Amino acid sequence: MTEAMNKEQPPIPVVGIGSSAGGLEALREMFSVAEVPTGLAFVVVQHLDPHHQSMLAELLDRHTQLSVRQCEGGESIEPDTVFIIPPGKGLGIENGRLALSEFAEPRGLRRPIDDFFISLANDQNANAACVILSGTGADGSTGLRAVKERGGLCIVQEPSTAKYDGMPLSATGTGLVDFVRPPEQILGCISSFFTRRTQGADRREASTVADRVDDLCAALRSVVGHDFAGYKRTTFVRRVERRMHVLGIDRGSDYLARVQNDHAECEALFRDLLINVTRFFRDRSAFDVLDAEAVEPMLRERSETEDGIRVWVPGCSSGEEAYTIAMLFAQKARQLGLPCNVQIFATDIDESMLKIARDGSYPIAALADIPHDMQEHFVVPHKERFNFTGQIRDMIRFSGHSLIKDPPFSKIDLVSCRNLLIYFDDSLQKTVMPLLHYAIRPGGYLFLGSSESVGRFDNVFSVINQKARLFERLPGSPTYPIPLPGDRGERGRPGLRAERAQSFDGVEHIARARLIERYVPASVVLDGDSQIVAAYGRLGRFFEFPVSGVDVSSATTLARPGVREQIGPLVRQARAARKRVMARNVEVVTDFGTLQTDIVCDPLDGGTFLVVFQESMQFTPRDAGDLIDLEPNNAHVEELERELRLAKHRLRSATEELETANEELKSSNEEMMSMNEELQSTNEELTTVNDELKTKVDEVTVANTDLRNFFESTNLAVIVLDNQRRLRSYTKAATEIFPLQPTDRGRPLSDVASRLLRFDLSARVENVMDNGMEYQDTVMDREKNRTFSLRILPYRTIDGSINGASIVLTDISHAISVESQLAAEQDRHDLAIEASGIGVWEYLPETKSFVLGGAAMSLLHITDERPGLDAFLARLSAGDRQKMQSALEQAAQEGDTFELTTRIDGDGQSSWIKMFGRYVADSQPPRIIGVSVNVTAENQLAETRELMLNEMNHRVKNLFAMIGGILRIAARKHETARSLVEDVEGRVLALGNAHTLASSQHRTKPVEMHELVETMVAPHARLAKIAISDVSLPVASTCITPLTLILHEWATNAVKHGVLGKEAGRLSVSWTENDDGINLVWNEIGDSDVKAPGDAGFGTVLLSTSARQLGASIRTEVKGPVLSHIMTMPPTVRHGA
Amino acid sequence: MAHKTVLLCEDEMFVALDIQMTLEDEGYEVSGPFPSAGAALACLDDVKPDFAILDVRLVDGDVFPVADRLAKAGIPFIFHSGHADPGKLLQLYPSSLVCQKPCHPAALVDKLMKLHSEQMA
Repeated sequence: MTEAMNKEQPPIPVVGIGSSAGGLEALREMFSVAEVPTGLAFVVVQHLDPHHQSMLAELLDRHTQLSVRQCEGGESIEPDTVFIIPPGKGLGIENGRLALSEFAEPRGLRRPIDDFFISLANDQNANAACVILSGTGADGSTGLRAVKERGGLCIVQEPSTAKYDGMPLSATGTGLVDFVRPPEQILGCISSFFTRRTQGADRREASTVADRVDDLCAALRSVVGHDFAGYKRTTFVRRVERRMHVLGIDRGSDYLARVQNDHAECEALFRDLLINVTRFFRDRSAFDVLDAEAVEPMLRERSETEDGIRVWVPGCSSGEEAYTIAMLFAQKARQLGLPCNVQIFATDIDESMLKIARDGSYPIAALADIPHDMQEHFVVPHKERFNFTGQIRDMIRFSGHSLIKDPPFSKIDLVSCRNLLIYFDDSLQKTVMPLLHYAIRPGGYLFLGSSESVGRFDNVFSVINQKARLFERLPGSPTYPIPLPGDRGERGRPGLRAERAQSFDGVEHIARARLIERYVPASVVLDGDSQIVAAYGRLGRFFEFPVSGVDVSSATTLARPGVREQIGPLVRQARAARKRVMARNVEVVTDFGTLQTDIVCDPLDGGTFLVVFQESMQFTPRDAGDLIDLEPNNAHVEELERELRLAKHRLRSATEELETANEELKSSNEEMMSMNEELQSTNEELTTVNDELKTKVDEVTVANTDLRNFFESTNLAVIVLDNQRRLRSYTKAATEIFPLQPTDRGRPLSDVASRLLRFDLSARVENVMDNGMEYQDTVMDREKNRTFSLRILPYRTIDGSINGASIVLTDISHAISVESQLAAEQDRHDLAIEASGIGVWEYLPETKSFVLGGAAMSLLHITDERPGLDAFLARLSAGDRQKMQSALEQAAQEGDTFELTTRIDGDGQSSWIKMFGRYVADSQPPRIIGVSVNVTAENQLAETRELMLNEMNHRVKNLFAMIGGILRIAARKHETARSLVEDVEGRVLALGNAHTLASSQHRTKPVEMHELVETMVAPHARLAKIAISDVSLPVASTCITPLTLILHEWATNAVKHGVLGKEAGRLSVSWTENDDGINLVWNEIGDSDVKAPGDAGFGTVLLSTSARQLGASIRTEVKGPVLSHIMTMPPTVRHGA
Repeated sequence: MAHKTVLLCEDEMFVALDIQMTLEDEGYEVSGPFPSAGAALACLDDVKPDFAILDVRLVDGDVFPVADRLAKAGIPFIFHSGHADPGKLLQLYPSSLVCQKPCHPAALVDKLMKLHSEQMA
């Protein structure tokens, strides 16, 4: 069907390519010669590290015209495209689409190439080609078989051109490879193969091949020893033609010549011819019949006998049929509850197929052919493949055996010979059938393929089920001549064919043939070694048929007792005499009686002898009396026969032992094979490791170079010592301290002079190497100019052991000088803090604790040098605690600075502290540093000032209120604004002056009474003599305003009417103080008499109100020219009273 | 209608005089002015005023003893002060009124009349 489709639309041939180690190179060479269009699709299956990205597609793409892609799964095959397997995945192909899969097997047991090839063969059949390139192991060899089986093409890289020839050699070892080529020729090979096939040149050549079949068979027989003459012609021709396509041979005659001359081609053809297709439970219905009609009866009858059931599967190929039968028996025995005493001999001539059969590992796809209940009991499935249980495997023995060439098995209960006879032509089938008849015990079964039959042997095989081709062997001895080995010999066959050809010439020949067949006495032709060369007539009476599988054709071995003793002497005598020799009345012992015969030995040409048996007496059946008669005569013979039986028995047990040993060897072999597989995968991994190591070495080289450059360039003086304290390496900088020369490498450290001052380096190094502890010190050179930090470290190897020491010297002279400068700075700084009385503190947000320094402890009245946050806050006034805490938190979170003034209550007096804080960003652990300054003095000053300001404010307000009052009171006495202003303005000015006096900035003492008086009379002083008492009377501030108004009123009046005005005179103002109060006297002494002033008007209101304010009383007296105002004031007028 | 009596505590005599004159112009009778709390308290033993105008700071200290006594007697009063915090005063005496010094006596009279009308109501 597939072929029919192919004809309609030629599909793109798919080339699977398997490669492993060294594959990249081979692939490159293979693809670089590709010329588009090739008309082929390619799939590369390369062993890849599953853990790394593959660069293969990119690498290949650069070197070929073909399009190269890494497979992603699901792609359809396209011509002129190379698909590459991705790492870590298996690859398969279904209906022309690529499919990715996970690996079932652990790494090392995976066979991605095999898997793909098998999938390729199943999907593409004859349209597939496989190529195996460089690589270790044997991956691909099994898959190759599948491809070949389906008619695909197999090509292998010429092992000598492969970097690793493991895979190519393994592949060629199967003998199934069509071409072995260097990589660059592979593409050409594939192209021409598929081109030839599609052109159909083969059809024209078919006839020419058919003509050469006999010759080809002869050539094959001579080389491989297997005769295909009896095989079906059509099959034979088709497979030969395929070989011819492979080889590019068009003419049958050319191919014949090739086969005749080329041993290897012969082998190749042999393999190709044997390829066949088989599967589990092929023709299911037939097996059902077998199960019911044969398996069950056999188990019931024979499973408990000593011998058990013996089954023979000739032509077993890859073993499916044998396993099928084994499962049938096992299943039935299980159902019937009988022991499964079954032995299955599965034979084939193709050892490579037998190997597959012995492995017993089949693709999981084949599992579908096996019924479910059997799968459950007998199958051990794995991910991609499955095996059979030990029970099934132990039932089957696979061995190499030719149905045609080798003696048959015997006492067999069932022969399953399916789809083998179809390859045989009629004559071969006719020779095989009696063999099978012989092999099967009477009542045993024969099971044939659906298109096969027992032919004319229906008299010895009766049909049980015609459709299933199941037959029963009828009772009776084998009556048909077993074709003796000589008959198939190299010499015999052509001769026989020649005779047969001639027999058509005339009746004479027919007669002669009939004569020989029927009437000629039983005769054999022997060679010089008594080997049977030819045989005529009914020989059954004189010879025994082979029973064992031993390959014998010796007449003496085969002859029955009686004849056996005569043949040797006869042949010897005839050879010596070169004449006919005759033995008379020879008694032949057969199975059923005795027979007397004359034996004539007639020497022929070429060292052969014709032996003719002429029966001289009738056959005497054996009976009881006979036994007695014969006893005396045959005692010796019987003795010999008993010995023979014993020998046979021993032989059989020896054979069984050998078989057992053989089985053990096989299983050992299997183990060896799997070990080999493991070794190969190990080898592949080692190759990979080797590559990795190469990379590592490169890296190490680079690192080494880096290190050398570092040694040359660094300012660090480093010396590395080995475990004997000898110099191993040193940096250039080290030579400034140690006078080292390159030749000093390897010298002990103690031999090396150093410029260090008094320092026993050697002893220290020894100490460090002994206890493994690092040593550190500061040393100076001899001149004491430079200071070094010296470190001696143990030199540890990767495993941690100490294997030397490293000495590292760092010049820290500069650092030390910087350090001392820093210390001096620190001292100055401390001094400054101390002198200024500044408190220094540090806050650690993580531990919520303070570190206090400077005057901080005394400022904050804290005795603990490291108080916690709570203790710290407790010192602050209640209102400021929360502020301080949030300021600290904010500073810690946002890296802020803050400023806060707070009151501290301690030791009965409070003080004011100003705090500045700043977050230190690059500190570990994070911290806030700050200073605290005592600002109590400033704060007190500010408080005082505020107090004064308030007082002043009050005073001014009062003043305004008073002036407002004065104005309104005055307004009641005036009609016009002008007169009002004139009346009031002087008084307001006076109040202003008094205020100026009282609130002068420079004033530290209260206002004295005389100051006040002077201020009031001063504007008028130029007009009169004024005497003012200088008795100290400080005036209370509240009294200044009313006093001012009173004094101003008096002075104004004096200007208007008295001594300060037009009147000449003088003014004296004086005051006296006693416990009751203060008495102030204003005396105006004029030149003439004065009148008492009127007391109506605003002035009077002012005076009385002011007096009332003071709590004072005023009286005015006039005595001649003297006008006196006497004011008596309470003591409270005095300041501080 | 009998004249209503206003108790006036004011230590600044010109201011006191001014207020007194204004009140008398409006037809009130003035008790005081008293420059000290002591004098005012002494007066209260004899006189029961209808209203009071109180300067906060007097020569002998704060006027609060007087205010307490007035509040107890249910006599409405107005604070007339130059320095005290009006909020604080209202807090102490919720039913009182406050006039910031300096203020026009007419404003004081307005407030007084308001108290008066409230009393009438």
